[in-house]
Amino acid sequence: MIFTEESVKAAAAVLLLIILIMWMVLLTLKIRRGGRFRTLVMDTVLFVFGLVFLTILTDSIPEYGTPLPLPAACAVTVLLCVPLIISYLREEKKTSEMLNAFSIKEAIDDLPDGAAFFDTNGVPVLCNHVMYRLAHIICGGSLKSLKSLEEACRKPAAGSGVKRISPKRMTFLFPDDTAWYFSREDISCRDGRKYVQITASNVTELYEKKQELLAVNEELADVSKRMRSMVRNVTAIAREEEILAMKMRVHDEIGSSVLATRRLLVQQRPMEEAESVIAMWRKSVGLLCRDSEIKEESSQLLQLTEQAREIGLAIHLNGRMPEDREASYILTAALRECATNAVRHAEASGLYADLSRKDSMVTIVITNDGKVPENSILEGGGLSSLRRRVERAGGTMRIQSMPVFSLTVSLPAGEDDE
Amino acid sequence: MTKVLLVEDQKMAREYMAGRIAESGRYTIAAALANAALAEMACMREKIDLVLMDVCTEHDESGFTAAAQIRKHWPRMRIIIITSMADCSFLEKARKAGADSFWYKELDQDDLLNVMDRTMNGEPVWPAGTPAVQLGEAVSCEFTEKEIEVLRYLADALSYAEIADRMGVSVPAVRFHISNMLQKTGYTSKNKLAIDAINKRLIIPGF
Repeated sequence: MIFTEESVKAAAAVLLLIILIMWMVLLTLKIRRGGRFRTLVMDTVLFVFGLVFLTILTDSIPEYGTPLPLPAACAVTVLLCVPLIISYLREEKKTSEMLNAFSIKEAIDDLPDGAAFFDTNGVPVLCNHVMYRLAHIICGGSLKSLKSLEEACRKPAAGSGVKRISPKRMTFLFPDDTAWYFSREDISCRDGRKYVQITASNVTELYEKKQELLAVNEELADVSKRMRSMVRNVTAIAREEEILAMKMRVHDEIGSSVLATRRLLVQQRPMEEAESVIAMWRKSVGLLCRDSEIKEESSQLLQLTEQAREIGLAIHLNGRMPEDREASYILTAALRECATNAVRHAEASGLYADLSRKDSMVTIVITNDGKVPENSILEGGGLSSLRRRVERAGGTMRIQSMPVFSLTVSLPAGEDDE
Repeated sequence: MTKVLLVEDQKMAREYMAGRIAESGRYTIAAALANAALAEMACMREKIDLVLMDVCTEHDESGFTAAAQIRKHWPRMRIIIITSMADCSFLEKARKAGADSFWYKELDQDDLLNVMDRTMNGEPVWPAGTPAVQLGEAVSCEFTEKEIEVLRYLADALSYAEIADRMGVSVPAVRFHISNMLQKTGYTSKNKLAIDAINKRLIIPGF
């Protein structure tokens, strides 16, 4: 028979030995992890008991010494197994809850954003799945070093299909239409070791919203442009309405004169009433005559010259006004400003203006033959509003008080039309 | 005879008014101009007693600027601002420019002579307020001063940020005023509001 008492006992002894060895290992682990004192004592007691029992067991093998009933030997061995298994399961559970290199790697891998850490030599020490994938695309190969990644960020590998979409930020559009923002941060650990952290944040949604915003802004700019042009025309429209109202009024007056005449003729009213009707006609026809007598609105410059002459100032213009209506008007405004000032402050009788063209700029220099200013001229209401006007039209204005007062205005006036 | 300088850029209106004024027998027209900027020179030429000054004149010359200039050099001259624009800032700007009286053109023409007579007698004549303008479901006088100010910038096609910058307030404050105005008028967009305000001449950009 194979299962003799000796062989079973020997097997139990071997099993017990294995249990004790494993127990010792577990015990050292527990001590290292700082287990509770009570359980440690309990475990130690059981362990010692196990050792003692092992000697009894080996002693009881008949050839050597003390007797031990077989069932008792088996039962104690199995019983000693139970606390070991419980202890082992507990430690296993603790291990799974504790931080270690693998658990950190696993957690970082699950991040939706990309993250990689490099040591001071630029060698990657940790890189998650997302970063690995992105780096692979942008570098056109696997991630070798911090330097190669940074190089690729400055200039993505040819054929990678990665496009940089922000001139200032490290934001890239990847071939799968996702947008990523890369950033670098230097981190130093408590123990003095230094690492470089590169993160890639998924900004796809932000990028799409920005694109939408750009499209809407474009539309808005268009609307605003239309608004501006409408605003410019609105005063003209308002004036046209005024003309219409005025025309209707003249029309009405003539109409009522016609009606009164008709009543006069049809009803054969007395001659006294005819007088008032005639007066009515005089008035309304007079209105029309006045209107038609008025000459065509003379040009602004001519108007100014005439007006200046009437206040005793002769304007001598040397050169030709530009064709550009706007520029021509601003130059006339400059002349007007100088004309009033020359008469008022310098008691001048002549105003001299030299017009010259250079490239697409027209320049006027205005002086007068009056008194020299006693102090330097300060820009008051008239001159400063002229300056605003000139600068709005893209020109420049310069005032000189000594030795004589002169005003220089330069304006863009389109192409030279000579 | 009182010498009158008339500034009005519309030929028809100018001649019509000049005709009416001359007819009265109490006034003579010393000059009738289309451009407000020429008014100062006309005043230098001869002694003027009364200036009738339009606000929006030829070449976008502002009647207010011209009136202020005249007031500076001829403190005793009487100035009446005339306009057909219902822009609510005009009354205040006219006061600032030193005008004696203010007359809305769209009223009866005989009224003008009345205003001129009273002004010459040293009585300032001012309308009680800007003519009310209907904007959507609201009347213009329902707007606050701040709202009108925002509306003015809006009519210049400025953005929220630009408006906030000019007014020295925050962007949300600008939004707040605009949404208040939209609520009052029942309009759905600020552009519609601005366009209507310009069309109804509640706001005249540039003056």
